[in-house]
Amino acid sequence: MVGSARIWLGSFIVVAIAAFAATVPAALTETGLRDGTLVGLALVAIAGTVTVLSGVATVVVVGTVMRLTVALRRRSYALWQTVGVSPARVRSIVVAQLLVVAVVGAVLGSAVGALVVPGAVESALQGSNGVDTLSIVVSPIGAAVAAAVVVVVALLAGDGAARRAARTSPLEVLRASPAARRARWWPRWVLAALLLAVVVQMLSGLAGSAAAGSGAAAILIGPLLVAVVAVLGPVVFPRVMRQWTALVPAAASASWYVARANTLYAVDRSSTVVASLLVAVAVPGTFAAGQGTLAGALAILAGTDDPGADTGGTTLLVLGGPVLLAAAGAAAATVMSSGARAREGALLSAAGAPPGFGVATALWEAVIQLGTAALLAVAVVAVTVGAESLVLSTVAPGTAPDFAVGTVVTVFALSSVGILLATLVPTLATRNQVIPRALSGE
Amino acid sequence: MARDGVLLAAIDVAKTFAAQGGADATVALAGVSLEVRAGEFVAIVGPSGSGKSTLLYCLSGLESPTSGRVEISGTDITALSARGVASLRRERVGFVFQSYNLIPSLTVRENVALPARLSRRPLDGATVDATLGRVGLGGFAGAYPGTLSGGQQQRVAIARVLASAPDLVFADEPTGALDTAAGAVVLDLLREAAGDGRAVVMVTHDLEAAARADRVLVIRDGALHRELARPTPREIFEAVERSATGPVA
Repeated sequence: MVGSARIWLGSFIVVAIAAFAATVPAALTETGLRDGTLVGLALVAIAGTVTVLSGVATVVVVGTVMRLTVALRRRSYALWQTVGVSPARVRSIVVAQLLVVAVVGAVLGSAVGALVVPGAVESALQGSNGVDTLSIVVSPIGAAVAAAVVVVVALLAGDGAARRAARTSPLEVLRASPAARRARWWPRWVLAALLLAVVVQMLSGLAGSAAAGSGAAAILIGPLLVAVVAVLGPVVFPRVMRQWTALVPAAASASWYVARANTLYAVDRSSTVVASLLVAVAVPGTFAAGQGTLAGALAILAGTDDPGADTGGTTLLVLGGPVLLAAAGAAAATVMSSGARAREGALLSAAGAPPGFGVATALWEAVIQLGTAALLAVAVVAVTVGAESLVLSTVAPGTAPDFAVGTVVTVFALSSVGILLATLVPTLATRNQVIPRALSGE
Repeated sequence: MARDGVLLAAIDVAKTFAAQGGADATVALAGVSLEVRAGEFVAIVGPSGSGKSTLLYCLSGLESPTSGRVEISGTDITALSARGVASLRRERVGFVFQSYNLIPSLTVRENVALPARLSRRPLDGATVDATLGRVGLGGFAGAYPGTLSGGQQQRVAIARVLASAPDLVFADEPTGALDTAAGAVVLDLLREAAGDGRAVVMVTHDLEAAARADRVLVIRDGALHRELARPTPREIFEAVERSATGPVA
């Protein structure tokens, strides 16, 4: 019961935060369109950037958390099938459950957003040229649209997972067989190809727009590349995890050895955490790196040494929602999976593992997920600014890549603290569990 | 080893579960004393709720008794810290559970080698493979537990015990989820595990399985009622029946 509540609460919180974050672009768009002046259009332009970043975060984080929700409850769905519930009925029940969680969470999140976001956005825009004079509004319709988008994303991801859960043999699930990969792959490859095509298109136009004094695409190329990697996550994440963790000798630590096996085996839950962490680190990282690289190019074109300063408020406005959502997604996925980890800890204790071994294993799992997300984030930032600086050098020779090391390190450090806490707290709570009861309490 | 080859001794072990949700406190064990010697295969039988599984968990250090003492190879495990109990379990005790309790993320070979890895004792691949061969699973070393049948998983659990060669093996309903043929194989392997100065303590409700043991202890309402040496299934059945009304032995 506690385990189920933890799973549903985790997905509920993530949906609520996604809807809350979605009210930011809704408020910016609505206010800008209502104003109708040039200042209003500037606000709509900012809204476009926020929409892209929030969209990437919502699709990746809400999508993976919904899939994890179904994956963690596969055993219950298998038990239903053993008492005669048909696969089609299982699928419809799962979708109905997700619909309730998504609708209630999204309504709550957007309602809070409608109350809080206007004031927060006005504060963030203080000092921004022109737009700080506007009074930010979000109507009930705007909030409803934000909630509806999040519900649709949640259901699209959840329905695919529900279909796979219903098709999986109950015996296979009850035996805890290695998760079969029955997901349809072509939609992922098609989506990744489309996103890549957009990236290439933006890169090809970057030099021209920079020469004209703009080049705003530079800040969106990286986040879109993050989306490409996240979309291909089920293919990319396990391979990256397997490769870099193989560098640590298996004999170095028994807890590391077990953590590595768990992470690679329970790929659903580890991929969910990695995807959210990747968004949390790489979206602000590539955004800041693209902004810095473009600023350098524009300074060369203008013949000045000063690349210009960004107002922190605007950056917070653009990145706050997506980063908050991604960090919450990673923490929620970690806590949602803690029930499975508690049983694994009891199994290890029964095999003779010393006290604290389960905690060490859980922490190593978090380290593996953090390391994988960090490697991918660094790779995406490097590819983004490498490509952008090459393109920009054609019109602004000498444009150097800005790797935004400070932003990447800061966001990664904060995310690490969050993930380690989300791992430690529930694991320590089960530290003194009585082994026979933990093993029988499925 | 302890006196007279005694590997396991329980002295007046009692276990009471605290009251929960309006229910009264439950006395699961009411002062059980017993001894198990090297080379013995001992079965504990009794009706559901008689306390036999609780007794096994207290004897093996998985659960702490409310009072009394449990000694494994002369060491009082009730006086040890949690780390000390874990260390003793790792070095001297093996478990076979009804639900197998293998680590799903580790292959069959990795599961068998796990206790040795936890103890930081080198266990070469040849030893693991030879042990898997002994339980008839030589061709499944690279498989994950979830892909095996119940009988095969239970044989992996026994291979894990055989590979680490503990002094004492505790088995909780090891044939409870298996068919007759698979259960017979598991009992043969447990019989084998009781050789070479080691001992096996098995809890079961299967009287045919219990009849394979050297000694059978009949438990009811948390107390030992009878002790039978190499009994037939019929004799065990009658002892269990009589324990329902008879005085404590």
